[in-house]
Amino acid sequence: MNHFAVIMSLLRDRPNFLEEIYKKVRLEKKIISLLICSSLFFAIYGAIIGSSSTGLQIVSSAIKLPALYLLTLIICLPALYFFEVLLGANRSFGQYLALLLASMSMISVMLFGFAPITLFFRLSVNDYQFFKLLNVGIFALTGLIGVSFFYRGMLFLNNQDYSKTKGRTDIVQAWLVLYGFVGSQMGWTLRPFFGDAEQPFQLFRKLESNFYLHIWQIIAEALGLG
Amino acid sequence: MQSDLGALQITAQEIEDFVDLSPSNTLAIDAYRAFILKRPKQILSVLLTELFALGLLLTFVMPVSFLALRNSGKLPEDTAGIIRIFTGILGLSLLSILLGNVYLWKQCQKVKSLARLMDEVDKYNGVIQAITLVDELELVGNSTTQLNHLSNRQEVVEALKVTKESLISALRVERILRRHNNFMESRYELLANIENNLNTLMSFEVSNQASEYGRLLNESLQIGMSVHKEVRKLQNHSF
Repeated sequence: MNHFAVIMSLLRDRPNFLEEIYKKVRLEKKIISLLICSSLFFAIYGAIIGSSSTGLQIVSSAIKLPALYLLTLIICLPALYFFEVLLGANRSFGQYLALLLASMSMISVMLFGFAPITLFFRLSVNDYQFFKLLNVGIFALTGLIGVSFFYRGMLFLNNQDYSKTKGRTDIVQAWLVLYGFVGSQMGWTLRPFFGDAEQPFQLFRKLESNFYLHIWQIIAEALGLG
Repeated sequence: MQSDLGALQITAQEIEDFVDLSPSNTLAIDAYRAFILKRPKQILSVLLTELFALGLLLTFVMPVSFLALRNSGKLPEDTAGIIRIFTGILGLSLLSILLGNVYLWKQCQKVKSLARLMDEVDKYNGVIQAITLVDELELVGNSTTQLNHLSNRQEVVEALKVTKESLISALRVERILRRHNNFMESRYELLANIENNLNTLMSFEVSNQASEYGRLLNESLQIGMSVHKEVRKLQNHSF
């Protein structure tokens, strides 16, 4: 089975891919191929960002990064599906899963594209905070692109029916905010991804404060305010 | 590739349309072709799929188990303890993959005939590639022998058309019978017959067209000659 052919067809012809999801053309094969490809790319990028620390951190991040995205997807997907069904959507669970996995695959491919840049900065710059900030920027950018693809895909699927689309658009927007919150909290729970080179290997850090406070602290430190 | 050969090829798209496979069936077919029919390409494909399945299982199971352990307070502080737990979970995942393989083996038994049909389709496509190669060789070859080869080639193309039709109808029959599993007994007989006919046809095609067109003529001549010899022998003995 050629899994990369599916992801290539997604990247080359996105409207056609969305059309195929709507028509449920070979959904199972798409889901499996997208799952495998996205996990592979996430694992590779995770290994790269973990390489700033010990060898154990490489393995740890290579498993944690795909887990971050996939677990967030599993946690949030039922909410999306049941709310959509409540508002009268005709889609199957598989179609939502395929669309979400397609967005995640786009994010993973773009992260894979950024991998040489990240590797270059990891090798040339020795600043842990700068590296973290750079990656937060990369994750934010790729996440934005993936999420906008998902949003357009949901609008496309909803527009194929002729009834009651405004309520469903609101639901998708609210769900995206929820997804962002769950995702960032999941990332905060699973940390460390980067691994401080000075400290010994830690599987998890203590549960303290939250993601947004931490980002503010990093920016403050980088600007010299902290 | 010449246009008549291009139309004769059975593409992957056409196979998907005729056969309508689920991913577990596709994996079972690949596994059958890999380990029973010993095709190297399928062996690689199956091994990679198993590796990916292990990776996905680890991605889902590891963080969740570690987080659960941390929340219940049982997570060891030292690296050695963590590595022990990691190895333990890895071992359990490998066990699950092994159990999955047992299930896959059972699936393999069900898709035997379809796997062999897919193998035949690959062989058929291989014959077309061989003929394309011979065509290109002919283009740079001796022009005096071309007329002879042209008529042989036409016969070959006709035979291939017949083969393609029987392959496609076999695939369709297999799909229909797979849907109606009640017809178990008659299915095996019917498919065995189709398989036998196909095998005969394919062995005839592959051994002849893989070399040059002239072989066809030679073969029929040889057959004619040996028949003639036998008849002479019988005539001599009967005196």
